[in-house]
Amino acid sequence: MMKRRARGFGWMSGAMMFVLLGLFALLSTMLILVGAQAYQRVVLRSQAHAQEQILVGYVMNKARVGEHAGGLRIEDAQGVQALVVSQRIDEAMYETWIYCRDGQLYEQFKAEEDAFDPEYGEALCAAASFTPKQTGARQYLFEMTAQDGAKYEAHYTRRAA
Amino acid sequence: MKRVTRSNSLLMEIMLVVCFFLLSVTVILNLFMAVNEKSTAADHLTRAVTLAENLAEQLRGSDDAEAFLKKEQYSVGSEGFSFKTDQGLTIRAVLLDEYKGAGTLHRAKISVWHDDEQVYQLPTAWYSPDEEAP
Repeated sequence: MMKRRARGFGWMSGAMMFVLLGLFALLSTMLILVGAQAYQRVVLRSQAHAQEQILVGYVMNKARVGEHAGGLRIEDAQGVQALVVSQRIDEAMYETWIYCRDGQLYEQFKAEEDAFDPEYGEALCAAASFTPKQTGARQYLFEMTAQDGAKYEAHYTRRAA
Repeated sequence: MKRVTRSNSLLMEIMLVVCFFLLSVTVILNLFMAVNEKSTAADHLTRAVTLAENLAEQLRGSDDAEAFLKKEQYSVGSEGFSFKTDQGLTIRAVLLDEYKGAGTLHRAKISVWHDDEQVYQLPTAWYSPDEEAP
């Protein structure tokens, strides 16, 4: 009688162990999946922040520097729309052209008299598009699209009249 | 009888392991939630800074700040002008003009809110001289 009960209980505890081990495996897998998703989401958000800060920060700083250095204008040349910052260095005029091409934001520094060629720019960061616009006498709007499709806008108002 | 005892102790051990594992899962999930909250807060802050800076630039460039805000569909309330963005953030702007003799000093306190929590605040000021002023 005792032996029978013992054998029955043994079978039950075996099944219980199996259930617990299965639960353990299931929860481990779920934890890994949830963790991976959370990590991926955080990384993507962090990349998007970095992209926004680089794009918007760089363009706005250039616009501010451009105003103090001497000139800020928008050009449409060689199939690209560019923000052009002029500055005088040692009695000579130089220009920095900022434009988007082939999924990259480019900067090209050149003497004013040299012709603009988008091929010679230096790639700064990934960007799908960059559209500078002058919306008023002193107002500028820079529209940017990151590679993931996120759109950013930055407004700038020239301090000098 | 010995087999039953051995089996029971193994079962107890597995139950202890599962209990410990569940405790670890709770801690780790809390950690993930905290990370997610921080990430969301950082996301809101980045957007809030961009929104506030853009509004400051637009106000600076406008001839009449109040008219500009009304044109941009800002609603007027007891806490100044406010506008709810698509991202769930609310921009508020309080305007204050001080006449200084030869022109007006415009001040604006721009703040960005998420629900009832202030995410970012940007005070800004600009001066517009009278047209007759030298």
